[in-house]
Amino acid sequence: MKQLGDRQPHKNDPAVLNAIRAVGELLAAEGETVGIVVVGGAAMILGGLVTRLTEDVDIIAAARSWRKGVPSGIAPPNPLPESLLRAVLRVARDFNLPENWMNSEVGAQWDTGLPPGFEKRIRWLRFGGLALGIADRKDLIFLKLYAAVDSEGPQSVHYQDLLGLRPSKKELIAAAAWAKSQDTSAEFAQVLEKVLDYVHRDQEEPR
Amino acid sequence: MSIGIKKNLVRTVTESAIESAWVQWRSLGSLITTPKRARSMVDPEALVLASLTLRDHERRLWDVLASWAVTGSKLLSVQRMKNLASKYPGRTSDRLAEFARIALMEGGDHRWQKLAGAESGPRPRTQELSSPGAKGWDPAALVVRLRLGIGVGLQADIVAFLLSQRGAWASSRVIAEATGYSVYAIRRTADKMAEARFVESTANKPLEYRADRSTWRTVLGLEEDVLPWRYWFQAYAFVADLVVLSEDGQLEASTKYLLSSRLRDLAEKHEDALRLNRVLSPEPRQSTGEGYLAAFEQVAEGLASWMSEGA
Repeated sequence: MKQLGDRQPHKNDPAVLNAIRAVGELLAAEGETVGIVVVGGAAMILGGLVTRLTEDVDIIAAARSWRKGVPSGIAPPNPLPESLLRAVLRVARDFNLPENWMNSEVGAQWDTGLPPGFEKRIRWLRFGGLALGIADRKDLIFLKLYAAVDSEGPQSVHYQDLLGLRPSKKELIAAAAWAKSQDTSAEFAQVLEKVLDYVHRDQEEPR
Repeated sequence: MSIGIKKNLVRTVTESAIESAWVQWRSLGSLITTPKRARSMVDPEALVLASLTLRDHERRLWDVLASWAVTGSKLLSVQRMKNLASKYPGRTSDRLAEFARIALMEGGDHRWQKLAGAESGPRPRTQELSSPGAKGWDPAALVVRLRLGIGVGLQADIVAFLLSQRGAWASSRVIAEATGYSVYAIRRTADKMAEARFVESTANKPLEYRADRSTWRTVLGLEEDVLPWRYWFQAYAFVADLVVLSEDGQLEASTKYLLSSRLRDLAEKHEDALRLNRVLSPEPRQSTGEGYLAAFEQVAEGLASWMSEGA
């Protein structure tokens, strides 16, 4: 586990960060502590990897156990704690966000498995009553490659995020191997090859 | 460190509400002098509930209330009071039980039995209150006057509201929103009144009602136009919640966002007070997060101005 420290507000913070901070404040006001791990665009923004706008926060895991106030293990996120759901709805109202702006749909990834070593690479931040784990860049590359293949391929926001992560050839090879283990169909393998070709081409061309 | 709203904001709203209450009590016969005259119809139950809420901020309000409980409680609708009290803070209901006890014990009005508490509240300093009509009826006291003439109940309130619409048609839903009675009760009563030719109704759906101004002006001997209806029970309920939250230290929070969210709850709960009374206030969705703090200041200032201008 990496550092767990209170995240201080900054005037240039992205909007999604303000919404996350608000959730933490609401939880703290209720005397609740919740730990979640996020992936996707929000994780990339919080990790300083991209600056694109997003209002979605994808929860892939929840803290299963705690040691001295620090999450010490993760588990599938569903069902999300009632206190978190209440806070998410309130923040949706207060920030004009869709009610599912923070959701755990991506938690279905547990059915086929997370990238190996995912948990060890999580970086934890603290926002009041919310311990927020950010998936590591390596895991984001794995998950984004898989999502890009699984969705509309190179046209998808996942593909653009994958490019934004600037994966190396070595990282892409490792990510592709993991993605193939998630879906063994021939069709998936074909689209995967296509996406990888696009990545190589787009990374070589000046953008 | 705790964050709070501007201290003078609640004070401004409170003072405007007290001023409005004085103007309205004057039109109902209070001997308190105030330079203003009421410019809208007095909602007697709303006035009692607001005055009960504000009595710690202006002691004389309790003196007037205690007097009214003895001499004027028969002109109040106990059922409507009960309906409206549910929209006010619990503290207001507690004090209503004291008012009801005085009405029961000293006013001899047994309708208040079910609302009466065990205590009569603080001892009032004076119980002088003249009859609302003693010096000629104030136009703002039309609801009370009609109740005195045709009885306390929906009929008098429906006529008062329809007259305030100055010839415009109003649906039972609109009348219910203004008076706090159920749509069903309004429709049932208004239909009977239409059958008796007390009011007119449209022949086709949607059913709407209106009161013939010239006929009623003749009956009531009105020389001036009927004053407009303002949605006082909704506006005073907003004020009451704001005042009680402030008294309880609930208008403070550990962060700006938490305070803004709490204030958003308050404004959302009383959205009808702002909408029906057309109080100038910013659209909540235009301010996100703690940005709503500034928007709420405008809401409160708008409400205070509305009360000052329209009591």
